Amino acid sequence: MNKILEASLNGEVLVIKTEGYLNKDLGQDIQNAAQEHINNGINQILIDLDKSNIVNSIGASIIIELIEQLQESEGTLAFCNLAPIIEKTFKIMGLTKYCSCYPNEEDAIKAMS
Amino acid sequence: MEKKPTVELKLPILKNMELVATQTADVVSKHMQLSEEKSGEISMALIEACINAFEHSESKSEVYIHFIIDDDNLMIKVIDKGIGFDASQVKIPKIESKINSDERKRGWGLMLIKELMDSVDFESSDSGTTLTMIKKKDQNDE
Amino acid sequence: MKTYGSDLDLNEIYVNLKSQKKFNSIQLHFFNQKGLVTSIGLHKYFSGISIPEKAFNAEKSIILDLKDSISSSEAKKFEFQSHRYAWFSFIHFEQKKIGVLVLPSNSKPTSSSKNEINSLKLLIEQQLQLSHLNQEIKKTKKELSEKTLETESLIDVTEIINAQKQAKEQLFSDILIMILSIMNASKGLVLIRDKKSDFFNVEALFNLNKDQEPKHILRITKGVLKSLNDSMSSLIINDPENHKLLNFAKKNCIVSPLESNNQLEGAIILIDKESRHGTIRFTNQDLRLFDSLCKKVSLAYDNIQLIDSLKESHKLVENIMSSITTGIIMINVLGEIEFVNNSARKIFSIDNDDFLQNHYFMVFQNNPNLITLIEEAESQNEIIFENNFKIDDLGGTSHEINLTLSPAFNEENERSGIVFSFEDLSNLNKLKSTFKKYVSENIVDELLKNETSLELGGTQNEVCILFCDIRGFTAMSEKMKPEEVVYLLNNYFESMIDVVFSNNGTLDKIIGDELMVLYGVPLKQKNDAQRAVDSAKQMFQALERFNDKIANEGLPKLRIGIGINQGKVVCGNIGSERQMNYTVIGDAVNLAARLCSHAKAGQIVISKSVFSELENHQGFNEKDPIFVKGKKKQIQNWIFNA
Repeated sequence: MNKILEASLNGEVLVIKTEGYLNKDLGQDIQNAAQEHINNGINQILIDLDKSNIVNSIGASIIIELIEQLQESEGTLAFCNLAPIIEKTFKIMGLTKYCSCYPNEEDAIKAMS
Repeated sequence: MEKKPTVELKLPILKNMELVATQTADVVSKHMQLSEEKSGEISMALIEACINAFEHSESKSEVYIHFIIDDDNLMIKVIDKGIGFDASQVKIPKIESKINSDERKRGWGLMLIKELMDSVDFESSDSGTTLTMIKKKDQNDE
Repeated sequence: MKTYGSDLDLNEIYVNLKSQKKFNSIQLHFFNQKGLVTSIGLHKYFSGISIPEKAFNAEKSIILDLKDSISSSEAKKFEFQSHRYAWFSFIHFEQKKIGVLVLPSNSKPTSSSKNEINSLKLLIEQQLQLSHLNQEIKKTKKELSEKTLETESLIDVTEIINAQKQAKEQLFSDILIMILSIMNASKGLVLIRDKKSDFFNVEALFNLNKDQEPKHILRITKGVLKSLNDSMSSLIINDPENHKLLNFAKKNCIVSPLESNNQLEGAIILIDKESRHGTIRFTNQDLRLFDSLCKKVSLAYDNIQLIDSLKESHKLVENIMSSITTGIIMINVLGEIEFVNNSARKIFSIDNDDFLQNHYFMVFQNNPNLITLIEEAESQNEIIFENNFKIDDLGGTSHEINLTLSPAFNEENERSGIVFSFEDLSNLNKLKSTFKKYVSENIVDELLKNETSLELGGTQNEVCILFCDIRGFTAMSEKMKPEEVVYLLNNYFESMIDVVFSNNGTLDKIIGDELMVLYGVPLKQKNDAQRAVDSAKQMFQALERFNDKIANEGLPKLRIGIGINQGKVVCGNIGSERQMNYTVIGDAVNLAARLCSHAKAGQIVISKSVFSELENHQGFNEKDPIFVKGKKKQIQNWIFNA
């Protein structure tokens, strides 16, 4: 139903690709996947939501906590391939002030490097 | 007054059951020829409404969802038979601020629903809560 | 525990005393409950000494024979060694024994020496009082100056807050700068909570460079905001290095919450205090002043929010008021005009605010009837309603209005005035009369009632069309004067159209002497064909009357022929933007015209579609089918001879 497809490094950026409903479970999975890398000093994360076109506010708030954590070490979080409704939801929740949204992975990586 | 066409769902309170509601909402939106944008907004608002309703019900009973189709708008009612809640409730500070804290959930849902739908109304008593939200059709949709 | 002795310039007293040579070894001791705390006149200072019991219990000065009353060790302490006697005279302050004046002496005391001791003691007591008073004065002075500063600051802050004309951002910027200068702070921030996301945004900042500006998420879940949220009071932060928001501070910070409804709505943060000597720390005193200033701001913030939302709803009300076509005028209990909406201004032709605050006697002086009505309304509690009431606007033009005068009540259910609401019928009448030219009033009313029935653009409907021609008119008109032709035609049409309207027909057009009437548009009715035929019959009757009338005027009688057909037509506004007519197009129209030209004077020719709709066929005789251009089949027709 929903899962992380991939969580790997592209240069200094951790790219996490998800599939399916971004709810509390998937949100936690994302956080867990990020944690190890964060412990190893990675502080740039790109979340690719190409295959996820539904989200709920709990999943989003877990992402907010991830952003807060990254900010402790001057890191950043970005998204790419957002469905319009997800981008709109993030905007309403105030997320977009603290993270960037890119149309695709390539643009994101370029901007983040 | 003729009765408007209505789709009625009865959802058990299980994980991710809100997606059943969004699937239905997608079909209803298509039937009403609503734009993609509006369809997405309806689904998002519905997810949040369901999550809230599940919360009030505390897995005791089911949550009912009615889609009432009209020429000018889509009205969705999310009904639960739970304990009800007071929208102006003073936040009781929780000691634990673990990731699983309920505090977080309550914050966003209602606000998102209000931003995404054209009008939101709810009645709550100790025998249940009914959230009514409306999405209007406009010329752009057809 | 206060040590009274330390306030006095004891050395000076002592020196003065000593200079009075009589007293070589005067001693002045002050004590608290535990023992001596200050001693002058002794070579050593020590505590734990006890005053000889006899001496202690004495109310007034007492002279002790040291041999009897004091042990030798005590005597040593007091350095009484060489003396035989000692005076003990207690120093009182606020009715308590706080010290003792000790005067060792070798000679037995005389009454004069007793007096001297007493006067010394009094002197000391007076000086104590004085010094105490001085201290109190100093303290009060200090408090007063602090209060003054506070009050002035509060006034300044209040002024800023009350100057509501500014935008919110500007407001907080000004407040911050004001507080910064009062507190002598180096840098400052104002954070305000975003209603939607619950994150806090920087609403104003002062003297922070780019790196110092917060870029991370600010929430009440951690950091300074969490502390503020938990305590809901002003705080002094002495370890700014441990806070991400404040880690650039050099010394310390003071922060204060802005709250509303027990929720943290914002925070005012000051970083580092400036003084002549450079950057210093804020003190608790600073915190107190800061707290009272920010509390004021916090209180006002609530009001600001309220005012903002009031402004919003005021704007909303204004928008609503200005968009409705009903004129609304509010008259207060004194009879003064309090509010006039846009429509009211239009109807009464008011172009300035002179109306407001004036009494309705003055304002409506052209309309005595209106004044009478308002007077009536003032004296009673019922709603007064008048239809088609005539008023004159400020420009002198007459209007007809439907008006309502209702009593208005405030929340305490007291009479608060009158609401005068009215609709200008003139426009409606204009509309009606324009429309009336094309359709009967009934249809206009029907249309106005039922919006959805008005389809003015491109529809296909089943319509009954009637054509009415004056036979041989062209020839006739050539023999008449132009004025006569017009007069004749107009009068003719007037009677014909009366008939049309009384049968709810729609006048499509008049071309020369030809009349085209539609039945079934804009409003379809069941008996369109029947009404068309009835109209035709009545037209002949009306024509007879008309002919009699004009015959008297010496004008030629008119003879008409009528053709009627029913069928599907396209209806719509046809033409160009500049010249457009609502009309119908189609075969059925052409056929109706053909039938009409086929009709001889005094004849009504109808098609099968009309014939089959009639209830009563009496008088209609079927004739030979006729050929019509463009149609292969011949057309059946029935003729009625009027």
